Amino acid sequence: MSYTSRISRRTTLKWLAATMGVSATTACGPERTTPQEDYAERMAKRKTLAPARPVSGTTYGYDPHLVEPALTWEKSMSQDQLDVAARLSDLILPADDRSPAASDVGVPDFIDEWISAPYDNQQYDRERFLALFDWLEQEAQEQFDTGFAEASVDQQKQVLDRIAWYGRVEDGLDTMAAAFRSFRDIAIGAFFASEAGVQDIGYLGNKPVIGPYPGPTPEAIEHLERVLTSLGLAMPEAKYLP
Amino acid sequence: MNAPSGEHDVIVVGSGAGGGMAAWRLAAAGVKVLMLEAGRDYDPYSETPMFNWSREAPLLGGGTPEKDFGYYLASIGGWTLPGEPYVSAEGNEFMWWRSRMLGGRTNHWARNSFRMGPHDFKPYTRDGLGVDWPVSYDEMAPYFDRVEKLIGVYGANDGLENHPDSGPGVLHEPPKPRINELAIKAAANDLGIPCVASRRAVLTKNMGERQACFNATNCGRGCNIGAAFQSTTSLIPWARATGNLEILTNAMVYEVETDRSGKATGVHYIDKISGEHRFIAARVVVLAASACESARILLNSKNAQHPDGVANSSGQVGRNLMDTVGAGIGAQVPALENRPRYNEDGTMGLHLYIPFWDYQRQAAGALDFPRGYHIEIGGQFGEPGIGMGGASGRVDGYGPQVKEDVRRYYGSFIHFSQRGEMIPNEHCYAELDPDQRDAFGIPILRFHYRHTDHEINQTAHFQQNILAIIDRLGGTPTYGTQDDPKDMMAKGGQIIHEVGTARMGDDPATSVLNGSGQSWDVPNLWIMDGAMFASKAHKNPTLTIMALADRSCDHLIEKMRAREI
Repeated sequence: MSYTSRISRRTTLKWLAATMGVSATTACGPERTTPQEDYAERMAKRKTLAPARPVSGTTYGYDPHLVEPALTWEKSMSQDQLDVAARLSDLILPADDRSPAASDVGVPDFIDEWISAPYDNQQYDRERFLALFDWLEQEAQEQFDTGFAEASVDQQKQVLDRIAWYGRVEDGLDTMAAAFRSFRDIAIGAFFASEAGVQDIGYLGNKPVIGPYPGPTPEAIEHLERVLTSLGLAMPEAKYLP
Repeated sequence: MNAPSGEHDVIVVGSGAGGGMAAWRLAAAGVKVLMLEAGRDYDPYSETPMFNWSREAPLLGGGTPEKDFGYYLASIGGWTLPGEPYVSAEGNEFMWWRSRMLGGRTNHWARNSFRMGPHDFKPYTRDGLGVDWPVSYDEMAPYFDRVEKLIGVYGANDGLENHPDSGPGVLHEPPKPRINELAIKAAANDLGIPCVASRRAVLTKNMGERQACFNATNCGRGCNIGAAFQSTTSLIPWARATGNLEILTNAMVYEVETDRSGKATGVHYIDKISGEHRFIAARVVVLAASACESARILLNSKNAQHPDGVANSSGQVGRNLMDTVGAGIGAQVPALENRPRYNEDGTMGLHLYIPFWDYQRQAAGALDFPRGYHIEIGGQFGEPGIGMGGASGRVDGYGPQVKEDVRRYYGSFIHFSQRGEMIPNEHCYAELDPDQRDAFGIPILRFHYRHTDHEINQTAHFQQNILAIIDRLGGTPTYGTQDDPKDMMAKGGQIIHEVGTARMGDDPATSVLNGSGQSWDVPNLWIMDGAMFASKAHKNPTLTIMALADRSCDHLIEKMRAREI
């Protein structure tokens, strides 16, 4: 008898970076017009995000295949929505010297999987996240005459700063702020669960360690001893240590 | 697994801890056994998602109503099951877990295997509440040794009051504690609270075909190397190898048939595949369908002779329903931020735990609750996923600081779960709903459940002591700080340790079973699951179910050999 390793990996989570990007037309500067005409013209040019497709497929049931999981529902976000989700998740989790940006590891696609799932909790998030995308889009259009995905990073931040920080949420935007925090939680989870994320955070498990569990490394024990000392606590008895 | 051959002496209903043990003991003794399991056949060797990453599962493997504890949990079913509803009486709430699969809940339990002690078997004698068991710890000790040796349990003998040592050479070496466990232990030591090696049914040395734990992949998924005990990699294959065990899956038993002499003649079941109702005769019927399911079968076995159900002349079937008292507290500990990384999977469960320590003051009347609890502790570098073990809740805004903060807080959280004894009370029971039936036409259960001050005050004691440990570590509680302990207590059934619904005792007027697990009313009807518990000690029930079933089988085999039944 030996353990059975996983047979195949789901590839459905792969985010196709190539499909992201430029779909909006550039807004032209208005001619000399009256303020009313100016407003009407701007409104007419303003893009709204293409809506999501209806939720379709089924829940995975009480007895799904555990070794080779498969999605039983269709993803449903429009390209516009994916673009906004990509920019938003990259603002939250930009690339740095330890790992790539959120969209590079498929976070927007996971958001799509999440809000397309026919479960109550996920459908609750669907309403909030799609409303959040629409709000970001609308605010970008109103302030900068451009879609959120096409706006400059500075412009995106100006919009986001109205809802993103504790204690600094603009009046009347609490619902959007809560939706943003939930989106952030899911995005962070999806990011660090990815291969690159696992490596970044330094999770070293999920591999067989034959023989007795060795316990913490000397470095980890030294660190513990240091912090316990600072708290005025003694290290546990030797038999509990490696 | 087609129609049974008809060559059996004993029918065993259920295939989990009790059913598995009964089948193995009886088959090994040469008794022909037919096992009926309501769920489907299950093969842990091909169906266990060993090493699958969360990212390979839908929704990163998180919980849904169909998979309460996440996609990979080896449970077919949970607190809800399609076509098999149950209800709670108005103002009550009880959650009933069912795993419809060969091996039942043994496939995914936490493997925590704490041994009941002298106080636990004679609770009435100690504090005047509830009832004593008809067996003592001394009578049970050899069975605990035998079962621990058979299934493989790691742990240590610490010589603590009411936490009995195992016999020499019985226990496997416990795994070394992880950093967060050591930190909790350091604080507990300082406060005079014991924190010792946990006991879990996980091998740390090879046992025949079952391999020692290789320190990875969650036990809740099942274990295809056999390190984490489950009946489907041990008792059931062992019993099958004797040639004396036949198994029928998708066989939903709903009634025990009795004759005029009062003896059981067999059971009625529904073949869930064809929908056909069938009857199978047997010399002896052993119910091990889980506490509430076994009670439901008895209550549903009504006839002119047994108007309140078979084996229920005492009226105690379905009564005395208990679950472990549960509550949780979490904390973030700055001293554990940014700590050096290493592989903290270990045996994927408890390496250390806090056993109840306040027996002396309790016996002296200094505490306002009569029974003990233990504390399961945790907090580690787990596989990243939604929530990041609490870390993602600590970030603010967006930008480069978010990743930095998640790295800093990852692994800095600790958590504590109270697992306490509940005392049976008249408000806790399961009965047949007078109107509603499930998809198979079987009357469903209606639950009544209420805690008393005995449980509520125990939770307050837990909270007070854990907040002291957290404070000693310089931590900040993240949950479990409710002013009213009632607001942090788990619902009935939520800890999935339901027991007591056909209790054993010395008096046929107040118990369903005698001290051997044999029905007082129907001599060839035995119950070998959690239903037989006379009390619900804080210790997780699985080990005790197996030790009791082992002992019951000794008595059953003896009576069968003597042709008494």
